[in-house]
Amino acid sequence: MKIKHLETDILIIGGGTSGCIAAKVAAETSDYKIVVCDRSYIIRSGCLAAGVNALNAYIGPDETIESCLDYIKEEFDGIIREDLVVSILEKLNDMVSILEDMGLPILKNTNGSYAMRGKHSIKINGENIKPILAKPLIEEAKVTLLEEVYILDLLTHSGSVVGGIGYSKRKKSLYIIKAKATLCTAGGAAGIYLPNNQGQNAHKMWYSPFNCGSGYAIGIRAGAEMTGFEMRFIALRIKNTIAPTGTIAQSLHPVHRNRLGEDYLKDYDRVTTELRLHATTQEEEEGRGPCYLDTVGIDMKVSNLLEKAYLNMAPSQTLDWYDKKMPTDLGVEITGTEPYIVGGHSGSGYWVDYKRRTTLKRLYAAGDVCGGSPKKYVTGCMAESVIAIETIIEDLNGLKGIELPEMSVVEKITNFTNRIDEASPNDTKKLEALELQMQKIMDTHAGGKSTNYRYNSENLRMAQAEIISLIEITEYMVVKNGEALISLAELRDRLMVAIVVIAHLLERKETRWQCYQSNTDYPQKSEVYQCYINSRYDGNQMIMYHRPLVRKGLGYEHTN
Amino acid sequence: MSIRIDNTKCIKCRACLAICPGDLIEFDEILGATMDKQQRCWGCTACMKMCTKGAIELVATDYKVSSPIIEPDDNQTCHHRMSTMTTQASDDKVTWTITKTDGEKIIIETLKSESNQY
Repeated sequence: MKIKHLETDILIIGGGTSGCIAAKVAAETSDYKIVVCDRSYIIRSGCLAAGVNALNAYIGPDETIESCLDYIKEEFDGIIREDLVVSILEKLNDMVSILEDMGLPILKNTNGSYAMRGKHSIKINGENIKPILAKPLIEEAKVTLLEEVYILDLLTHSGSVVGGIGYSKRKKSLYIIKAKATLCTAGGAAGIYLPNNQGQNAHKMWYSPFNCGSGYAIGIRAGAEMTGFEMRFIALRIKNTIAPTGTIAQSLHPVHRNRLGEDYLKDYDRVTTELRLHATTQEEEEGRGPCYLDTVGIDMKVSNLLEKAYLNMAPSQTLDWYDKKMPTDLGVEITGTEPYIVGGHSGSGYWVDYKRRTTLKRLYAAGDVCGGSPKKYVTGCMAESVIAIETIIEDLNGLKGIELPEMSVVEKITNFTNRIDEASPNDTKKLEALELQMQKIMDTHAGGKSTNYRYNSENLRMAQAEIISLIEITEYMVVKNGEALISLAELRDRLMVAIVVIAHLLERKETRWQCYQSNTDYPQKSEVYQCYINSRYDGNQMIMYHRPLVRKGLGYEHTN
Repeated sequence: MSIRIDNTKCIKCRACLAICPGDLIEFDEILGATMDKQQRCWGCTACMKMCTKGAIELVATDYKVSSPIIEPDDNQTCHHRMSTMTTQASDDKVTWTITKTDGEKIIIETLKSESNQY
């Protein structure tokens, strides 16, 4: 195996929405050298590979920062970091302007204002959004782009993060990247729980199946404090294709109907995202499923426009309509997905100060891996990333003359790549089986879809023991080649996330959110848990913390 | 729902290899681009938009296949009666062609400069 050494000022881990905008801003506003690492190819990597057909975080003409904050607070029952959310909201609409300047088409009204879809979304053509975001990076001389490099671990020295170690299966190389500041902008975690589809269709899920929580796992292993891993995100999606429903729900406002033809949301005063999912799950559980978005009889012209909107985001849905029945003839069947861990939608991720510093020195976080600020989506992740990179530049300016440690004194060089032994049998099937085992345990014992997202303490303890035994198996596993090594790395990262999720679910002894965190031992809300549940892995065990809520106007700083 | 590569159309340009967000496409000197990890395909169509020859198609599924994972050789027969979709991307538009099970073709154009109406 070849070993490549790189030194840089700023290492950005993850070339998705957040990573792209961070690199662009750093290159435009500083002279620092930047390395961007992506596990695949930046033009279409991350969640936005197929596109997205709306920007879901925008402050419309009838809304204010205050009203948006109230909305997000209500959606997550108060357990949000108001300081972080407000800092994002303040920059949100500027991010839309940046995207428009970069070439993103946005639908406008005749008076020039953006056409709204609901209260917080604007309509775009986002099929091409990822190439638009990635283009400046590819052309920028200050940015070194490392594609197809999977970051295995962070490099640490005297309590600071000093870069990362990555592996490329195609180049058969190990990358040791030393950096004065490291920004983690990797994705959240899909594939922790058994997905809706299996076998041939196992990756037909909503969130990118290639986001396996490595951005979380590298931080957890290095001892970073994490928040909100019990606030799982479960999406209400179109059955089978698991395509988003917002396009139909927010544009056409169809009735949510059960198989008896009843409008099962009509008795709710105010329907949050969580309650919509809960109500649908309940209909299914009580035998009134399947549930549909009632599109029967919509105009053919409307149907054609829907087909186009889906081609720009989830093309498999349009194909599926033509393969089976069109939405004009049959309602669009909906169901809940498996739980995902994703800070861009709910609040799971790194515990950061208001400037996006993590609890590890010189490690920063933004986007889906950053906790406490849900409902960020594309523009919110961008805003957060701009805040993080501005902090990095400020911190680096104050650290002028800082020397990176000599390689011999770097404390943590992963032994992970010693796991390749060409003489070992091909383990692909074994790795797939272990992944499935993890997903099944999480599904049945840690509140997966098969239990309608419910769990109890006894379940969780069993899941904990079983996940630990899987971690032990993978700890010493030797694989045949680089490709299997990446699969092993993915599994190792997912297991790390799984064990943290279980620890957080055990710690919140209440039911704060239906489905997201539904504990049958404690089916009610409790005032005691009007706080964040945080955790830190000390290399041996999880240490849990209850942190008091941070209200707006109080820029939170790390103290202990 | 996964992609299928028609190697009689593949011109071995490798454009699809360096675009897949899951890095799932391999290269064979004789066949050209190959994809045998159907169960790992997200269905994002990034590769299809890179292919100038329409050699990659997205194949619909009945979503009933659960286990075991079907081997690539069996794939062809498994999918033979499903609708398929190909894509031709240019600077200003993406043209999507859906071929239904009865042979009917539906062509949909999405202009890159035009926003969705929904």
